Amino acid sequence: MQPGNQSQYSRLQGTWSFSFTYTASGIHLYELQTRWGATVDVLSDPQFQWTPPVGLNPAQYALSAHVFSLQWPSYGPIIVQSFIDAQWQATVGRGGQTSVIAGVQLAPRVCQTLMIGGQVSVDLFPSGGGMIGKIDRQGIFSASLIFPF
Amino acid sequence: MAYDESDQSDDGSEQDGDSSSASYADQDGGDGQGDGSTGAESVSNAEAQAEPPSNGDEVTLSDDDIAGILRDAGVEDDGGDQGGYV
Repeated sequence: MQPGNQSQYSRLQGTWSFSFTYTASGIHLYELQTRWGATVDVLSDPQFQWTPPVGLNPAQYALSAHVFSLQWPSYGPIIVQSFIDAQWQATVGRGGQTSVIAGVQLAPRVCQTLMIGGQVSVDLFPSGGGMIGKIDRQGIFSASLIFPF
Repeated sequence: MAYDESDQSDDGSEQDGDSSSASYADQDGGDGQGDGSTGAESVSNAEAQAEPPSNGDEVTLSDDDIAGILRDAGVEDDGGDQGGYV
């Protein structure tokens, strides 16, 4: 394989959005925060599913996946932290009542089922003699948490 | 930061509606009005705009890094005059 150059790498550059979901049972958000920062392999953990966008060529996919997996240990726990510290607006009850619940700390409670999903984008661009990859800082995430009775 | 709850598929737990002081534990139907039949409480589809990661790290990929990643992925250089890994 020949060394790359600016022209070659410019053919690989782009920004792509990846969707992911993570499903687990019997853990709480604090534990998830630790797990995402240490042991979750986003490319092989069966609890973590990610979906690349259509249209990536194999090289773009390989590099994007590499960047994604490298960044996840620092990025994943921040997602969880945002759930722990944030104010929640929740709908609970048969009638679908809505209440703003300020300062709720969900983290200590064990979740019967926990599903977190979202979208993040990976940006690849040529720089110097190589490339730079980064994950977009402004992902949108959602969570579905079910607690034991 | 605000969370937006939209899913209505919960289990019928009681909501006390006290937005100023409620904690999640306050919603467990302890006043007897919840049916308690499902054995679970749920908070679902809470959406969030996550805080930006504080590190903002970029991953720098050298020529060797890129070659190794592509080799490991089984992606071969097309060998054309203009090179490229596509």
